[in-house]
Formats: sequence, structure tokens, C-alpha cells
Amino acid sequence: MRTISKQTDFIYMADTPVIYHCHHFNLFLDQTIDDALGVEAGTRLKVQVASTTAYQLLSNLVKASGAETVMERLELASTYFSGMGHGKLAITGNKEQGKAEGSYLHYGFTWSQKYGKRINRLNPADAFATGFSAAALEVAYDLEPGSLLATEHECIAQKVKNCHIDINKNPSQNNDYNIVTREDAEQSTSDAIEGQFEETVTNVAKGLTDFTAAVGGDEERGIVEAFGVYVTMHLSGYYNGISYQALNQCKDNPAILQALGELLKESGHVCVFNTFGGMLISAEWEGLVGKPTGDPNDLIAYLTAIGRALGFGKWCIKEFVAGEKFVLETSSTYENAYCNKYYKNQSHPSEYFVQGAALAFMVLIHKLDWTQPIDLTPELYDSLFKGGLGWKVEQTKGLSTNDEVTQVIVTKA
Amino acid sequence: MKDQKLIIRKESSCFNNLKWRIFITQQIPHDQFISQLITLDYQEKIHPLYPKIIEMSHTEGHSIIFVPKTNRIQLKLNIDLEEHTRIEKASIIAQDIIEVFKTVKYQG
Repeated sequence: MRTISKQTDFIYMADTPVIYHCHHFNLFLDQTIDDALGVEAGTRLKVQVASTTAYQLLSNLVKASGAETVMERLELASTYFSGMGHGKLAITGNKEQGKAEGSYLHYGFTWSQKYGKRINRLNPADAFATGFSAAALEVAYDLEPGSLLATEHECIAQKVKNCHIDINKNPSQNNDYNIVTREDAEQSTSDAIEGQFEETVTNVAKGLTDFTAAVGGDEERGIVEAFGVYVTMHLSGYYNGISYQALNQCKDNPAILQALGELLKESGHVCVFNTFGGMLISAEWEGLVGKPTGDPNDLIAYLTAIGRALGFGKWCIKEFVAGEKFVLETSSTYENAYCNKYYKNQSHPSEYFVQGAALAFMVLIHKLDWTQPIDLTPELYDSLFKGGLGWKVEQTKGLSTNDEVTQVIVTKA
Repeated sequence: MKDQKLIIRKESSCFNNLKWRIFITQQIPHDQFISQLITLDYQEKIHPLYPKIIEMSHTEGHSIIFVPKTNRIQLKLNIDLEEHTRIEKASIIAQDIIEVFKTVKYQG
């Protein structure tokens, strides 16, 4: 069911746009939304967007697989949830109510792994699984999207054994069904371009893409451990929906709006450091490509290739001068697929993730000694990204502002 | 046969002492790697990047990844192992591997 567009490098699961992100990014982004909107409003938004985008995925899966009965559809939902690395979710219910029992749910489980020893969490962490549960029952019973509302009551991140989600009729009957179809995504792009080191980028991206095709949640836990992180195949619509709707909700508060934009940019740092960095130092990378030598020209090509392979868009190296400048250009970004449909004609380019990612590329290339063992710890992250990056980034063109390409330029600060 | 100088250290980005790197100085032929680990009750799993990566899983739930090109050996412990036992378990597994590779004929 996974397909990849040759034109855009976008990835689709049953024609639903998907991308790969690690738990560090997932937790950071979810927390960012809560920080911007408050936990209650943040959770409400995340659950609602999760439900909408999961409805799209599950509807497409049902269509593609021909699953007819309620049992078949719920089984399909659980299978793909696990296969995509989100954990184990058993959903039961009828047209008006139900419940879902979760184990190793990605957000709650990884939060407990990352923070559980130091922090007592007050609120459940699995907004995505919660929304997904509601959507699974809606699709199982051919209900309209938004008919049901799910709430997580207990979560492994709160130091209980498993996660418990209740599903009931949605009292507010939210009918916002903001989705991006495959056609929408493909039409949000411009003609593909090529850049420097294109052969290396293409070949490495292909190798990674072939590898990820075989990667899925393990049978026992439904989670994917790879490259030193927990990876999910996730819905781009979820990431975009929570990010851009949160921005929209904050638009009348300039201070929060700016902070949110900066955090969304920082999410690019978090992803590149943990996922991209983790990939470069992984055993899988050594087998596939070889141990990085530290050559900046190799590293910029590898990092760009990883971006493509994870479904972020057809990122290209327009210009790279080690120690001085990096210009990333792309004819497709997963962010713009959403902006193009729901937030057209923006006043300024707002593909925050690619801004942060490009800057993080230069930090990783120039501030790490790739000839020595590298430990991607929170302390190392802070030393690289907090208090003086040494680099600055500007998005000079954006597909989100009707330019022909998205272009970000990283130069010395 | 020279004694192996085996070093074990926690793998980069390792969660809670689950992943370890085992260092063996001499290049191991990958068919011998497989056959020796089988003697220790490991079974070969087909890794998506086979034969660039060899993966062997043990009945106790831990697994070994071997990269023939770079001689990298990664141990992944069973996640259900209690955390306070992991360092010791990793050491025991590494020791078993030392013993078995003492019998291997190395290239060069």
C-alpha cells in the first residue's frame, strides 16, 4: 500500500500522505502545541486533527482492501496502526460508544522512556492514538467523520501499565474535515529540480527508501526501533494540521505566534539531530553507505538524501560551500501541501520545519567530529543548539507564497 | 590463535542500556560469524539490508547485528530485561562472544 511519487518524493500509504519522524520530534511537536495553546486546547486540537487524518487513512485503506464488516475494519485499523510503529491498539464498540486499550503506544511509551524517570506527567500523552480510535469506529460503522469523540483516561506516561481510551458520541459534531489528498499534495509542487551531488543524493535516498519499505512495527509491540530512535510512519496531515491550525489560533497574539514559529523551526533541529544524526551513526547506515568520514560534501549529500527518503520532499543542494553557505531548494515540501490548500497566499514563507532542518545540517556538519564516536545525548544537543548556533537561516522563497521553489539559505551568524 | 581484545561499550543514542557495541579488532568472515553464533543458540533473521547487515536473534530475546564491511557488532538486549540487570547481561553476552570467536580463523 506504500507508494512513492517520482516527481515529489512524497510517500503515500493507501494514497494518504505520510512521512517518517522519530519519537524525539513527535514528542517535541506535541509539547509545542500544548505550550502554545494550553494543555486542554492543545489536546482538543491534536485529538481532532488525529481523528480527521486517521479517518482519511482508514477510509482509503478500507477502499483499497475491500474490508466490509466491522470486525474486518477494526482489525485493519489495529494492524496498520501497529505496522506504522504506533504501538498496539485494540478497539471495540458500536455506533455510539466504545473503548480502546493501548500498549506501547508510541507517544506515551517513548515519553515514559525519555522523561519518565525524572518527571511525573499529569496528562495523558497519546492524542494521536485517541483520535485514531474514534476514527476507527467511525469508519468501521460508516459514520461521518467527527461523529465520535475519544478521550484518553490513563496513559503509560502516567506510570500505569497500559493506556485506556473511551469513545462516545461527539456532543459538538465538529464537521471540519481538513485533509490533503494525494492529488492535493502532488499539485502543491512545481517541476522537479536537481542540485549538487545529485547522483549521491539520489542513490543514497533510493537505498534508504528500499530499506524503510521493509521496516514496520514489531509483532510483539508494534513499535519500530531503528537508527537509535523509535520511528513512526505518520500522517503528514497530522503534523501540518496541528502546526498550522495552532498558528492560526495564535494569530491575534503576536508574541505567542512568534514563539510558536520559532519552536516549529526548532522541531527541525530536534529531528535532524536525533533522526538524521542517529541514522548517520547507525549500524544500518554503515551497512548501507559506510561510516561517515566527516567530508562535508559527503555529509551534506547524505543529509539531503535522508530528507528525501523520509518523505519530506525532493530536497536539493542548490549551493554548498563548506564552512560558509548552504542553499537548500526544493520543488516539494510536505508542509506546503497543507498550506497550499488551506492557507494560500501567505504573506511570508512559513515552511518552518525545512528552515530548522537546513540550519541543523550545517551545525551537524561543522560542529561534530565525525572521525570520533558520537553520542547523541540531550547534553550534546544543548551544546550544539542552545546559546549561539554559529549559523543563521532565512527562507527566501516559498512554495507557500507562490514562488516556484522553496529556498532556504544558511550562512554564518 | 591470538586472544581477542574485546571491548564493549554503550551504543550511541542507546535507551536505558539496551544497545551495546562490541569491538573485535580482527575482521570476521561473515559466514563464520553466523556459524559461531549458531553454536550459542542464535538464529539468523533476514535483515532488510542482508547481506550488508547480518542479524542474529537469541532465544532469550536479545539480538546481534553485524556489519561485515566495517566489522561492527551491535548487541540489542531484550527490552523486557529489568533495567538494573542490563549492564551485567550485556557483559555476559559479550563474554560468550569472546569465547566463541577465539576459535575462529581470521583473515590477514
